[in-house]
Amino acid sequence: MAQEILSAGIDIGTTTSQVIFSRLRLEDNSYTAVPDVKITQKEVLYKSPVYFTPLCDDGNIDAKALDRLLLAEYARAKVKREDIATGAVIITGESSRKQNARLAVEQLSAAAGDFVVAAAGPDLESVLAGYGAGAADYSEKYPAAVANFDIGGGTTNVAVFLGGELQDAFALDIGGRLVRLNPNHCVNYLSPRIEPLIASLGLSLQVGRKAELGELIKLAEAFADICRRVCLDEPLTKVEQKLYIGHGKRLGRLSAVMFSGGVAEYIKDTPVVSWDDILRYGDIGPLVGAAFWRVFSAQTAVQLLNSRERIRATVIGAGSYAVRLSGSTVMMDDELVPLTNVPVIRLEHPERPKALMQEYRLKRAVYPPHQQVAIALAGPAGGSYEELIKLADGLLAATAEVKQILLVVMEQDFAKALGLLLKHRGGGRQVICLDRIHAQPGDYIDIGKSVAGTVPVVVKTLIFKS
Amino acid sequence: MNETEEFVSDISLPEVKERVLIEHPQSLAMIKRLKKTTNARLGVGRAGDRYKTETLLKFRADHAIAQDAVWTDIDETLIDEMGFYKVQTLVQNKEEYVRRPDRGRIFSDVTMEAIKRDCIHNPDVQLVIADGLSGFAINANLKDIYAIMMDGFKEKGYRVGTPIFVRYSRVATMDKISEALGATVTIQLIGERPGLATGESMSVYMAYKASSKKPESQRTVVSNIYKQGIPPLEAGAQVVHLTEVLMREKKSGVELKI
Repeated sequence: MAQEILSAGIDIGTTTSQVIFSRLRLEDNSYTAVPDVKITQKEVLYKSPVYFTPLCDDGNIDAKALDRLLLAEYARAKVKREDIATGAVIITGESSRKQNARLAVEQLSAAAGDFVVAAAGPDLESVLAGYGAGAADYSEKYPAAVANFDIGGGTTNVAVFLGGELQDAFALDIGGRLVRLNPNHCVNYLSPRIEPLIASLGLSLQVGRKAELGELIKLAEAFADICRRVCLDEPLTKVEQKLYIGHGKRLGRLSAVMFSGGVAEYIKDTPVVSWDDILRYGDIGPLVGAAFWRVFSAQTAVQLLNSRERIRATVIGAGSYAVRLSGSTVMMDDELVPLTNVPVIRLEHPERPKALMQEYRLKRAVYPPHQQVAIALAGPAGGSYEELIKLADGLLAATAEVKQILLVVMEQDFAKALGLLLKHRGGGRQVICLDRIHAQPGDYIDIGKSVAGTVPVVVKTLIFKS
Repeated sequence: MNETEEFVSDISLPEVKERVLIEHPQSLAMIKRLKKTTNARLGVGRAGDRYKTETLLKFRADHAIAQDAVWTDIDETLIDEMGFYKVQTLVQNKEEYVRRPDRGRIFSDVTMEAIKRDCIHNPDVQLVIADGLSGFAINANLKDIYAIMMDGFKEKGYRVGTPIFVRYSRVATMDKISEALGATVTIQLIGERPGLATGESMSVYMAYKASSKKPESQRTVVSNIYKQGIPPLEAGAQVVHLTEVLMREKKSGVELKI
């Protein structure tokens, strides 16, 4: 039994915006009465051109212009809004720090409705780009960790995969549009985030002043060399370490890398030397790409891999990979969804009802009382009936005063059983219980209507630098 | 236990199979990842053109578990504890059970009369617990799956019949019991034919108005129920869900498009 759904991916970046539509094929491969549904095929049906993100004079996103642009793309792709079953809108790069980004997304009628995923943080962006570029798929056949560096206008987003599984994600303030130039070779924008680096390199780049080509190349090579040292786990200076957004790398040495993002279009064996190349976009993107090529092709410690997508990696990741399926035996009520941006509380000690109650109250207090939250668990360790009863009663007691849906996501395959007990012992509580979902504290989740017995879920990791 | 025995590892433990026996693999991580995707005996290396001793012993140990599961009479302590009604097919012992599947499907007239006399008639749900080819499977899974099924049936308000344990039973005994008691949905828990992966795997067969006049395709099945397969609790919750579907659709097996 197979079913096909349409998924949209919308990427609103610092520099560029794009849309893709893809078709996901869901198949039930079980031969008994227990379904086993998996996404068996992902086909990108339509890729929009890469547009410059429309901005107002004040530098904020022009929501109306963006909406018109997106609606025109729906029409061009011959896709109706109501046919889209799921999808994700991602605000990427520097714009995720712009205050109006979230507001702008909320105003998008082109993205309105059930599937919308709001602004995402740099970690999720890294992950989506890594999936879209093909690093996750490649890592299934590769014996070591595979990293994707998505180098955009504002940030470089890195995701590390091993055996198809995400191992690490982080981002750096490295990008092609952190320095912008006018046709007279004058710097008309310089990101404050890289000012300390420029100073430490002894460069004289300044807004309003003519830039020396040699200095721009030095900066571009510094970017590339920082990334090389990140790969090899070689030390960074204090100034360089500050380029990490929010947090640094957690894993050790990386053995293979691929590149995506707009700058990656220029990571190739054709040297960029002239001002003409640079002024085509009015930024240092081509120089950064060329510097990455020089630095990474001159070393052999890290293997260079070809990415499947470059500038479209993130949007394809958003459209085709953001959505995960829950396990096939769950407790679900389609009347209660879609739910979007539900914050996750993770309980580490759910096995003892008293500890569960304490932990729940402590973690729940962070959110306003009317806020719907999701409770994330690993699952019962032993899996006996007595253990599950204890867990169910613990959850019911802890959430007794809450009026919202009792929403539990767990890793182990016990959702239908736990859901049954929660309903049976909960006296009419609304219950959604999903499994095969791994969510961390600080994550947000979206839950869509069930498809072929499983539930599409988007787990969003939002880590902003405060 | 004497001193030397302390150092003999138990070859029948499942974790023994997780070991990679290839010497100097190019990528140990890769083989381990590959092994996680299957129960098959991959990455075992070789001695000349044969198995290594450990592989051969492990294979034999697993086969012995399967043999034991088939040939050991079920320990009925748990069945007695749970107070199930107990009957036996025409089969008299394990040997006959294996040789004469036909006799494992039917009861004597006396037994049929006793079932009719002692058990609840016209239940919504009739449970049949059968030893099948592995009594180990019943004892490993029964308690958890039974408890959650009962919660589910209570929640739905179903009238549950007298649970019946059948010794030396094949799947088809559920049809006879269903006919005798006029059950709407009959659910049979039965020990699966053991493979070389586990002797504790159980199946649940379900049928709407099960009857010996209907073909085998009348049954809906949930299989592979054991700790490392579908956990018994989750399987039980799925059986409750399927019972609802069978009741609503008034059919089961291949006729039912789930």
